This record gives sequence, structure tokens and C-alpha cells, in this order.
Amino acid sequence: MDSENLNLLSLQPGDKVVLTDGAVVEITDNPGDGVWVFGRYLAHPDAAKVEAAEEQPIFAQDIQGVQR
Amino acid sequence: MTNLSSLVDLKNGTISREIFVNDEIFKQELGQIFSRAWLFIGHEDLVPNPDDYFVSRMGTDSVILTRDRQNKINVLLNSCMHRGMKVCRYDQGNTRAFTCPYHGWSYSTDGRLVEVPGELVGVPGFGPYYHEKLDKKNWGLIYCPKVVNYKGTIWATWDANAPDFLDYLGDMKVYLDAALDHRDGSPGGSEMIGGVQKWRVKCNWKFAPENFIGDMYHDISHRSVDLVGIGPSGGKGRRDKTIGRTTVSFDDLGHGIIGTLPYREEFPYQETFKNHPEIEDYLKEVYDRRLKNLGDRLRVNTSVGTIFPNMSFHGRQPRTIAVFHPISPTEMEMWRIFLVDRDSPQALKDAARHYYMRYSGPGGMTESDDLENWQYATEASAGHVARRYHYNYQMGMGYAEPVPELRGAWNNGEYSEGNARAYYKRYLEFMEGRDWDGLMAASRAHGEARSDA
Repeated sequence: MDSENLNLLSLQPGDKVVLTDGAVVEITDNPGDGVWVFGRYLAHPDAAKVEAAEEQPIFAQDIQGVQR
Repeated sequence: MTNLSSLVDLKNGTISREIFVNDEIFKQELGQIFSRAWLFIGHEDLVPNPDDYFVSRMGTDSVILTRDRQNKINVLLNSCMHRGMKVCRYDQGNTRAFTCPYHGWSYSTDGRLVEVPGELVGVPGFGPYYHEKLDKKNWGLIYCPKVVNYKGTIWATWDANAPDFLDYLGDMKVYLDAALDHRDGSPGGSEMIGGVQKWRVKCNWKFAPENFIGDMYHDISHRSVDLVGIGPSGGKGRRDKTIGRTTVSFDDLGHGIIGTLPYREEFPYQETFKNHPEIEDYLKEVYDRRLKNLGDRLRVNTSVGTIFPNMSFHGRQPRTIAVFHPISPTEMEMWRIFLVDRDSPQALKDAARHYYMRYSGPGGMTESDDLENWQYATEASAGHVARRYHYNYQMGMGYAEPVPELRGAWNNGEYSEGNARAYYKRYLEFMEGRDWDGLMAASRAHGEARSDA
């Protein structure tokens, strides 16, 4: 995981990020506003959110880093 | 609340200067007119692709025209529901979500994510700080409940109880169609040339829509332009001559035009781009197609028209849409959009663009004449003594005749202030706070539209 110098604008669909609560998200879209990206949960403390498989807005400050 | 019936005296044909300079009356206009009437928002060419947006205005409110990923066109209030910040500070662009730069609330128009346009989808700290108790569905961007795409022009109203747009338009539709349809008479088919020209003018917003619908006798203002000759081929005058020109008002709706009465046999072909043989050949071919397409169907020519309250258009050459956004009692923001048939040759599009720009817009020679009049009239009417007095709108009173082919239409003659009186009659009805039953009763009494109109 690389949490140094994370440039939100560089995130591309397919990238995986880890959130501060431990959730893992696969990026599906990056509108480039520098605040939000869209993605689907691959792992989450609440399993129901993974099963929902729906696209979610992910807030920049909730992203701990990129999963390599 | 100011009682306006003494200020707008239609029986005697006089109108107080107060309605052009008074701050209290201006606030009433925003509530009674701009929060209820159908307003022109933009053209579909401004948002051709999913996620495209264009920032427009409705009264003094900033709104965002969007095309979502389901190809639906929406109009959203450009103000974050958290602290009111503008969620979009660009004029135009493409985005999947509107994110407020203040605290990061994010709104989407994507129907896959949301149930209503502009729904709140992202709230920073929704889990840890709001404890997931914020009801996001109740805090989306405010959106217009009624939005219509009419032949490429986008219209919206804040009032869910407003009549359908075509009812609001009435038989004025035939004149608007003449501007938006293809020159060959087929429906629709016009496109924008370039972007939207925007500029601010220190005048009351009502001067413009009133001026556009019948003020033929103010041509003295344009004397110098007429002498110079700025027409399509640089000849004398400013635009195509309209054969059979008159002014028509829709007194129950407030709309009006300078143009022709309805007719069935096309007027003879007029050359307009004599210096451009290629364009002239094309236009003659279009004219022949028009004869074939329309046959003996009812038709009109529109030179200039106004849809109440603040949208005007030129229907022929030049073909433009103008909007007059109120900023204050003594300032408006004026917009111009230029139209041409989508399938016309590039040579025509180029020539038209040059002609339109020397006619209209902030650098247009005809427009400059008008702006000067409106600006100094506003300034001179705001004086302490000046505002005691009424303007005179008595020209042609009592001489209008009904237009039998069109519901609720009156032929005022070429030189008359009948259109302006109709406009201010409607203005007064809105400002009195009539409900839609009251506002539409007279128009509805005229019955159904002509099937061939």
C-alpha cells in the first residue's frame, strides 16, 4: 500500500484503494473534482456493503492509500 | 407589497416609471413572475453529451442545465443545501457530480445512482460524524419540476402547478416554430452557431422584451445603421424585409410578434446573400423545398417576437434568441444565442455568423443603439422628480382587430403600442398574484388550437 503523495486525480478505473476503516474499494470512475471518486467495495467491515456491489461515492479524505 | 393596478393603467395607456426602477417592485417580480412563469434556460446544443452542463439563470437564481447519463435534461438550483455555496462555478463543462468546494457535499444526476435529479450522494463524514442519520434524499439540490425541450430550446418553471408549456405558449407557437423550424418548413433542425454571448446592461430588464415586440417606430434609433447597411450582403437596411409586416399580440398570454398574419401562399423568393452566389443557390433550393413541404398549409413569418416574460427571438435573418435576466431594478444580463439550419453549407454558417455578430450581441451595431436607449431611459427615469411621471403607451389604442386563424391573437397594425399593452396586461396579472386558473382562464376560453396551426 502506498499512502505517500496520493494524487486523487491520478486514480484510474480498476485501481484499488484502502479506506481508513479498512474497506477496500475498486475505482470505477473518477470525475476529477479532487474530492470524490466512485467505486465498488471489494471488502468492508459491513459485509452487506460488499454484497450490494453498487457504485458508491468515496470521499478523498477517507482514502488511506492505493493498494499495490 | 406595492399595489400595481394604479401604476399600470391599461385603460388610459400609461405606465408608471416606478415599475422600471423600484426595488420593492423588482422583488415582487422575482416572486410573482420569475418563480412561476416558464423561462427560457438554454439550447440543447449546450449540453449535447451525457454529463454535460451549462450554467443558466432563472430570475436572480443561478441554475445548472444538465444532460444526465440517461439522456434526460434537468435544471438544478446552483446552491449547496448545506451552506448555500455555488456547487458549479464554471459556465459550461462535463461532470458526473457537482461537488461543493466548501464542505464537499456531492450531488449527482446519474439515474443509476439516484432517484431524483441532483440527489445528495456524497457527504464527508456521513458515517463517523453524521452517524449515518442524515437523510440524504431530503437534502438534494432543488430541481425544476417541469422542464421541456421544445425543438431544441429548453424551458423550465419552478411551479409544479404551471400549465404545460404548449398551453403557456398558446398559438404563439406558430411564430416560435417559424424561428426554430428549418427554412424549408420541416420541423426543428436548427442548431447553435458558437456559444452564448453574455453582457450586462444598466437598464431595467423589461425594456428589452417590450422593445422587441412592436416598437417599430423606434427605428429612428437605428437610422445610422440603416444608412451604413449591415444586411447579409451589405445592402441598405439591417435585415431581410418582411413583406406584409404587422404586429400581433396574444393579449391573454403576454406574447407578441412583429411579422406577418397567417397566410397560405408563399411570398416570392427574396435574395438576401447577393454577394455569395453559393449561398444564394442553396437558399433558393431551400425555398423550393419549402413550397413543396408546406403546400397550402397555414404559415407565418416572424421578424421578431417575445415570449413572456423575458425571452425574445429573431425568426428570419438574423435568427437569434435573446434572454434578459434581471439583476436589479436598473441592471440586466443579456444573452444572445445564434441559430442556423443544421444541414446548411458551411459557407452559409460562416456568412450568417459574421452578419449576426455585426447585427446583435455586445458588439452588434443594432444592439448598441438599443442598449444606449434602454440604459439612459432607465437612468433618467430613476430621478426623484422623473419617477413621479408615467410613460405613454397610447399609440393605436382601440384599433386592433382579431386574427381569426389564431386563438386570442390581435392584429395591432405595423405601428402600434398594442403589443406592449398586451405584455404589461400579462405583467399585471402575474404581479397581482393570480393563480394559474385565473391566469389561464381567458386563454383557455378560446378553445383548442387549430389543427393545422
